[in-house]
Amino acid sequence: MQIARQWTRFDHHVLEGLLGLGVLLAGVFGALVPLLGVTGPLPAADTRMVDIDGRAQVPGSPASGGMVLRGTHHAELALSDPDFGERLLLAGPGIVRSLLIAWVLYTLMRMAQTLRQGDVFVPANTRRLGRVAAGVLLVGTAVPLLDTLTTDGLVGGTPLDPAVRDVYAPSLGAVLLALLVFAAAGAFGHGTRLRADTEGLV
Amino acid sequence: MPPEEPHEIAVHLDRLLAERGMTLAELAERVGVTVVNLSILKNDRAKAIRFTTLSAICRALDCQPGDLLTYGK
Repeated sequence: MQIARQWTRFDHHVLEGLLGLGVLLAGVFGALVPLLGVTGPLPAADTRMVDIDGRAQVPGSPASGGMVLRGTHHAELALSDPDFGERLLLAGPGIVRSLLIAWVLYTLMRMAQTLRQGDVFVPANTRRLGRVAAGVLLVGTAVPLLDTLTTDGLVGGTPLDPAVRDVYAPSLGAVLLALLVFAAAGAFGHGTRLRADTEGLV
Repeated sequence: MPPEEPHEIAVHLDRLLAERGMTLAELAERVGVTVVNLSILKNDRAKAIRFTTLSAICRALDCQPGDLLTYGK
């Protein structure tokens, strides 16, 4: 009750506003701008960080104070003049990731709206939490897979192919977070059902 | 049973009150339940009733649960 009192109407609007801003930023800078880069109107991304086999050396890394800069396992794959397909492969994973993040934030914003309306324990929010969990899971698993596939598409058949490691590496943190949100959705659903049971109890 | 499925329990509080010449407010005072909650019960909008509430109503109206509740509309 005390916590509920602290959530004033202003707080709810701030929360919704922040989530809405997140949706906007993810949509514009994460999806729209890269998409415009792919199609032409804006400068396109022409680089991607890739894992390499450790054969490349950082030239002239200066030793300073007993420290040495080593850079043999990650490298920047740069395309001098990528065509449409290459631009799409470069930007694709980032666009998908941003769209998923925007979707998750939008879903959270819808949940925040129900909080402002005073009743967050509604069945719709259980489904929304499930969607959030699915979104986080896709960010942690599908996007890295897309990243691996598109990297393979970019360097496959080129002289760089043997040097670039295209190993699928899902984000364990995102998977763990998704599992937690799935569990929270289950608990939320149970609480919603219990609330529905006691509603109308005389 | 899904909670959203409608029940078929009829509440005869209005008839019992009329037979005893008692108002809802008087019953609420005797039973210790708010008029709003008794009104919900009387108008068939309650989804559940506590045994304690049922006992108190039966005591106040000098009736049996079967006088208050019947199955089927």
